[in-house]
Amino acid sequence: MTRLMQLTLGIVTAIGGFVDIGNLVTSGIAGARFGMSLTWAIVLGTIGMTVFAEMAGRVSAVAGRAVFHAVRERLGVRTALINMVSSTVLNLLTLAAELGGVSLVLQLATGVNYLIWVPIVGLFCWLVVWRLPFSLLENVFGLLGLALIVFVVALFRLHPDWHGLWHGASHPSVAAGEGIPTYFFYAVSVFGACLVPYQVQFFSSGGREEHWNEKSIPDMRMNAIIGFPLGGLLSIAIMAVAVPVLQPLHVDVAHLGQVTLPVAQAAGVAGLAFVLLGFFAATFAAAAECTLATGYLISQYFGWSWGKSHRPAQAPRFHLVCIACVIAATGFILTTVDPITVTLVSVVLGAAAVPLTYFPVLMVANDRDYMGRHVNRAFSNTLGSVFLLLMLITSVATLPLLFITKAGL
Amino acid sequence: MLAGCVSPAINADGYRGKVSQSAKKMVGLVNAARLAAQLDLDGKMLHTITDNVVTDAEKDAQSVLSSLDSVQPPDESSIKLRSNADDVLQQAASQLADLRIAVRRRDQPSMRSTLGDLGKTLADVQHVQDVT
Amino acid sequence: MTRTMWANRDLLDRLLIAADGEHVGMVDDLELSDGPAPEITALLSGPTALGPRVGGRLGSWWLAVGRRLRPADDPYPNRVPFAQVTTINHRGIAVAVESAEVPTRRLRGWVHDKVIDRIPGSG
Repeated sequence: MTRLMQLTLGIVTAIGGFVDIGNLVTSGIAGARFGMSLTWAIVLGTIGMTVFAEMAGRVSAVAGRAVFHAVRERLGVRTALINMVSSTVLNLLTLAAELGGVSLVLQLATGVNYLIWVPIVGLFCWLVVWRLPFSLLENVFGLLGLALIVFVVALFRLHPDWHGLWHGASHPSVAAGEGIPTYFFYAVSVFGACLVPYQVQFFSSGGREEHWNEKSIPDMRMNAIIGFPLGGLLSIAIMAVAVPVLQPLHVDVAHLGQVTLPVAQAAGVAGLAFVLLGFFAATFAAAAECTLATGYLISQYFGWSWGKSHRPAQAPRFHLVCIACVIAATGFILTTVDPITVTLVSVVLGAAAVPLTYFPVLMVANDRDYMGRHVNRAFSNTLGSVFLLLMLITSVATLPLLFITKAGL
Repeated sequence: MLAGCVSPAINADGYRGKVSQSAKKMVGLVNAARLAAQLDLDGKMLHTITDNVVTDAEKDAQSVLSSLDSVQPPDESSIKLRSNADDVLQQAASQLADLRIAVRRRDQPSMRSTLGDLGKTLADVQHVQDVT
Repeated sequence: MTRTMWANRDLLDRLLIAADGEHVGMVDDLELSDGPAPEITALLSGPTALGPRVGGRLGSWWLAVGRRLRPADDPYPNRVPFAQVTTINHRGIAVAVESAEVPTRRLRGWVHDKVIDRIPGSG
């Protein structure tokens, strides 16, 4: 493969990898209820994700280890344990949301109830983790996830009032009939959906799976700096198509099917086929990545051999953790809890737990012992610190918002 | 989505707000179902997605109804309000069920006529929302 | 060039890397010699070393699990003699032993034999 192609592939997979069930659901809800007025939350979340993914990727390339490998060394055995356990619980919730999301997409495509699909999806998720080579997982699903570009196409075909959309995005205000806490609850959920911790954990350990070294830094940087913002743009497009179609009809988005309606109106059956493919790829890849991220996290805390470059027999405990995660998340969704509710709760709790993942990244990226001359520069540190502060504020505000708004009602 | 959890309204104003909220939700549900069915008639929908959207709307309409019914109307005027609103919302919910049946049977003429009925009911539901 | 080592910073909670590059555990505790000027004699690893350091109920539970996995309920953790350490750097602590011979891997062996090896396609 030529270098250019490799670079393009990396960027494309970053776009596909950015969007998951959290973005699909929260963007759809936000667009239908609040118009473009929550665009800022996607923009902020995307910048945060980009800055921290670049840092985590750099740590992975230079220090030769994933960020969480260093967490226990730097935070101590107990703090790291608390971090590891909370991150695991959150990842399980996210995994459940993704598995439920895949199953809902299959229900949309086939008409067969999603609960029938849940165990099958769980099984396939595990099979991918068990056998599919790492690069195939990233590339195949990243490429298929690109089908979501149909939302951008749909936006143009809807001939929206561009000026109105831009005005809504640049002059955020709370829509009539909505409370300020509700507005901020959805701001947190949109922000959290962009920053889901498993993505940074996966990006950082994935760098080890792909044997990044100092020479890979420019490519990794391009992937993050171009790919993630384009992924954020997709999230904005999903939000924007809802504005001319669903908002005037006062549709309160609570189902995945409703998110597809604007595309049907703009691009018909062909458009819907792309939507379903894109939804499937994005949520399925996210499920596999979330499973791997949890396996990485736990293995790295205990110093077990981990990763897909090992055969399962060479990393048995890592694979046992992955199996256990998939079983637990599948079981949880099978209790018939609404997957969309699980998604909302997971992105909001994720927003609260974001500092757990992002603080260690900032800390290790600043450690000269690990990073040598690739230690964080002032630019990354300023941005990183500002975002960490923002994340801490979000984190503190999340639970009160959750209770005041009764989860956004 | 979490429409099942409601707290009892305290006074007449609260009750009116609750009725208005329910009507507002119903407007969104009816609209989503109508949009899906209309797009389906225009040949722009995958049948399974139409079915999903309409079925979801019907289910959610039922839960809007039962959540409204679970609130005790505090006074005479609230009871009057309730009986009026309830009729309209019931009608919307039952027409959504009609639409779901027509969609599943792929019965286009009856989809069209139900869409017409839903359009009229929608005006009533909006009226309930505005008056209260 | 000599550099002062801090057991706390440079040894504890570091990754143990075997001669073949495998990750074989974390340094969960240290073994010191008796006497007025104690010296580090071995790196300790495994649940029975980690449990007491985590402390609390979780720590004792972890310790109990570790004991079960040890032959004859021997609570003494797995040790890697300090003399076998070859390098200490930001990647971890490299030891001059093949991964198969590092005595830290009983849980790994158990999981491998009882679970993973029984699933098709593990090899």
